[in-house]
Amino acid sequence: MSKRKTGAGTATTPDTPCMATIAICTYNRLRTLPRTLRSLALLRGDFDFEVLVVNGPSTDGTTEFLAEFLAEYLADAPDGAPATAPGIRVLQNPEVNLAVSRNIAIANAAGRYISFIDDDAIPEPDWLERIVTRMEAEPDLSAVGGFIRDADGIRYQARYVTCDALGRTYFGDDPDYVALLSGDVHTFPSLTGTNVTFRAADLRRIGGFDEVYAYFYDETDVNKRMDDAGMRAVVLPDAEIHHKYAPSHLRTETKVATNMYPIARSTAYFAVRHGAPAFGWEAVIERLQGFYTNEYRWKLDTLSAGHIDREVFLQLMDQNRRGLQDGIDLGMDALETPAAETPARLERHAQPAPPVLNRATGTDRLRLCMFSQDHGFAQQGGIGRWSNLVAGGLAARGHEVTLMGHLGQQRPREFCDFTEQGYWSHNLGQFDRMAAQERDCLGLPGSVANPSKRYLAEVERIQPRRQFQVASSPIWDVEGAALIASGLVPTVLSLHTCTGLILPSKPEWRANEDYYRNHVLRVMNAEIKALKRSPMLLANSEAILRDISAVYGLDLFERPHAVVPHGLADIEAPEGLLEARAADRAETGAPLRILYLGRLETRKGIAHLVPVLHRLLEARDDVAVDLIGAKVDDDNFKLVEDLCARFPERVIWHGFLGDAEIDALMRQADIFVAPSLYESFGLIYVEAARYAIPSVGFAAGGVPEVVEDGTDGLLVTPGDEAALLSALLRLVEDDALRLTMSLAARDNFEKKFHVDLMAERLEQVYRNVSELGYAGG
Amino acid sequence: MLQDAVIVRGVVNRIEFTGPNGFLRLMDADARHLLLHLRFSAPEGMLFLNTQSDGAWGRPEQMPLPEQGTDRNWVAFKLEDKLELWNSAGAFEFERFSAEAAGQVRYCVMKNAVNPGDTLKLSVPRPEEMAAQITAQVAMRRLDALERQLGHVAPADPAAGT
Repeated sequence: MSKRKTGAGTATTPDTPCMATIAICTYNRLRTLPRTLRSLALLRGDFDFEVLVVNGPSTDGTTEFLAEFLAEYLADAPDGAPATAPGIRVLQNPEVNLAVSRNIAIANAAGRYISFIDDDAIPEPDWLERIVTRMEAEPDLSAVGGFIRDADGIRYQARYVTCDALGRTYFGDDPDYVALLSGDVHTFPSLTGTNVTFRAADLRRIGGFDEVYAYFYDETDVNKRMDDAGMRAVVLPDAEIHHKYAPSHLRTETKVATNMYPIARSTAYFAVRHGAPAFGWEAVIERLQGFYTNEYRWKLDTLSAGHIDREVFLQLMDQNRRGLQDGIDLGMDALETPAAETPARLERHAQPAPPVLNRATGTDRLRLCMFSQDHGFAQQGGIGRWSNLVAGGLAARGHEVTLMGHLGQQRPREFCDFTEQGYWSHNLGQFDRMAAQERDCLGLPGSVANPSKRYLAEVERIQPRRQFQVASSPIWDVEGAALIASGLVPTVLSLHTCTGLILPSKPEWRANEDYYRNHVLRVMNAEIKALKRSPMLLANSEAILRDISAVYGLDLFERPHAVVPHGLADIEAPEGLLEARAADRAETGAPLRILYLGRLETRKGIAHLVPVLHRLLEARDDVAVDLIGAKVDDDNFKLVEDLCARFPERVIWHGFLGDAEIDALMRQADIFVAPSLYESFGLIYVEAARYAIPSVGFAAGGVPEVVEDGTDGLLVTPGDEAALLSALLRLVEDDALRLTMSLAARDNFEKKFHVDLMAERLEQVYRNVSELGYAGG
Repeated sequence: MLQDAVIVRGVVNRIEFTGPNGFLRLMDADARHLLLHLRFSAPEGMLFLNTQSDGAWGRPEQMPLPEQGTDRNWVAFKLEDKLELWNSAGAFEFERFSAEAAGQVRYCVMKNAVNPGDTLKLSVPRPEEMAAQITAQVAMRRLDALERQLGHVAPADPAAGT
């Protein structure tokens, strides 16, 4: 979607009609509304649309959020810039009444069609395009609904729904069911309010929504009156909405109603108004008696299950009682004076103003699918962090990104979600069930083949809507093996530390002959096949290409490849870091702080680092050390423990820390040390650089491509402890050199390793592959 | 002395008792309807419970009543596919009953179990009471409307009752 600002006063011109109005009626939904708005930036199509947000009397900060959203959009977004949020027009509704909010939207809509989605709903990118195409093709079509996914994003909440004049709803999974029931004069298609689009003229013709329905049955009543007026409505299965079903003023997160009054009232009102003329009074009475009986039973169950207490039970049932009584009275009134639905009902809500138009295009947008097992964790691995950054970076550039992974026991249920960063996150699991499926997974053993097959199955499931042009899989576990083999979508293979590279540091793998032959060798074989069959190899350094080439006897430089260094998002308030450190030291006489960040394991060079720190701390009593990282094995941890025990005042092992704690320690650090024996890239050195900290380490793997020896750090021969000590001492003793290298580190980060640069470079790589259209295989 | 009570399927039923000179109550899940009220004086009392499934009584299960103290104790059970009993700490006090369908539960409280209590009244109408109210309200409104149609009464204000 590209955007065009007209909110500053430019009216819609006749040659650019507003095709559709997306109306979001919101009330105290700050938790979900921003994501809903964010998702609209990804709508595809070839037309203009506007977004109307009708805000009830929100008290949770929604009003302030919308004001900021609007101001930011109008003030800062230059034309032609990637749009990560749509332009919106905000209207206020002083009442807590959904039907009034909907009528405010109708009265002010510029679109030929009006689409209602909830403020906790996310549309698929092709949602509006499919609806507009259908309605443009069929001028006699008055309303279109679509399938609605449940909060997990996978199961259906509603597909084909029909309703009768008593308000009895039937959920079907077959379009014939709709056709069958619609043949009944009293049964009609019931398009749910979170995914329904109306032809604006037809909706206005019936007077919009009946404002007696403060909540519930509001859209059903419209469906009924349209049906009565001979207007046609259909369900378009592929026009999908994900309804996240957030808690509200009327229900909890576990879908337990907190106020039954409007529901009971609307139920009675609808049944009396429409049911009595159609089915007679006996049927109405039976319907409402049944409603109360069911409510009584369900609320008892809810009480029994411990979801509500006695007082709440009493309240809810009292609300049911009062709601039914009031609804009956209102329905009787409406039957006696049926003149309420007139266009005048809408006219009183009109607030003339030029529309804010957005252009749905998507033609210049990448549609990318990525695999990364652990991207959803706080304690995620390197590939997970990188995947999040890439997905977020590309989403910020306006692209459609879907990130699939397996988030394990922390999130055992399968789900697909739309993240605040603007990309889709799919959590998959239940891999064992894939075992019976025959899929080519490049020879992977079952334990890793099953996830790969599951990823492919998910791609196949959503491909009709997401329409991926390109995919990206890490080499680790060859998660994209099945997709690569299928040739369905061209798949870039991103190179990280692979099985072949890690094997020398894993003697236990070789020691277990069965495991080595049946798992390790088969994974390495699959890695080799993937390297040969992927249309593009994505490396973060020349080193990783070189090292994998060497270990597998391939020349990857001869294969299509691209080198894009890892990037990181900038820290908050990077200005004045060095001054703050110097001032702190001048004031308090605090020691110079050396910081290590990484797991306490052999590959990270702990066995070399600790002896060097012993000697450094012996030599210099003005130095303190912070060690951040989780324990991995006893041997390395013992070394660290002994160091802490010897210098309890000057060495702190912090263990694993979250981002906020790391940030605080990084801001205090003067020198970063990480003598890794191998890094395919060395993201930790970029971490240090963005805090303007010079690095000291071994010139191993891809590290020299990150740290420029002599410029923003000092690198020595891997394993040379004397040289490592010497380098640390140089930086400790030479304030000027430390300052120069600190500045250079920060400069290097900004010019080479900023996440925006990475996203820009990756965009080109993925685009090239998508345009190539070669899926490998 | 045996007491029978009807158990509602799918609802947690609850028995409360104090000891040693207290009472035993069988209540429905919303803790409002007293289905059974038994006084007892049982320093060494024993509660026997048995369920009926498809017309046949199973093997009685027994539970010792508290020997002393005035703390209120309770067991609760929910009849789904099986009847389960919990003690107040949430741990199983009894083996699971094999009761495949809703039916009757039979209680036998040894020693001086007497005085069945009254059913408590709720402020919230039960379904049958509400059904009558709905019928009456619709009938009244229809009558009002008919009278207005016949010109006996002025039309109602549509806004009334909102």
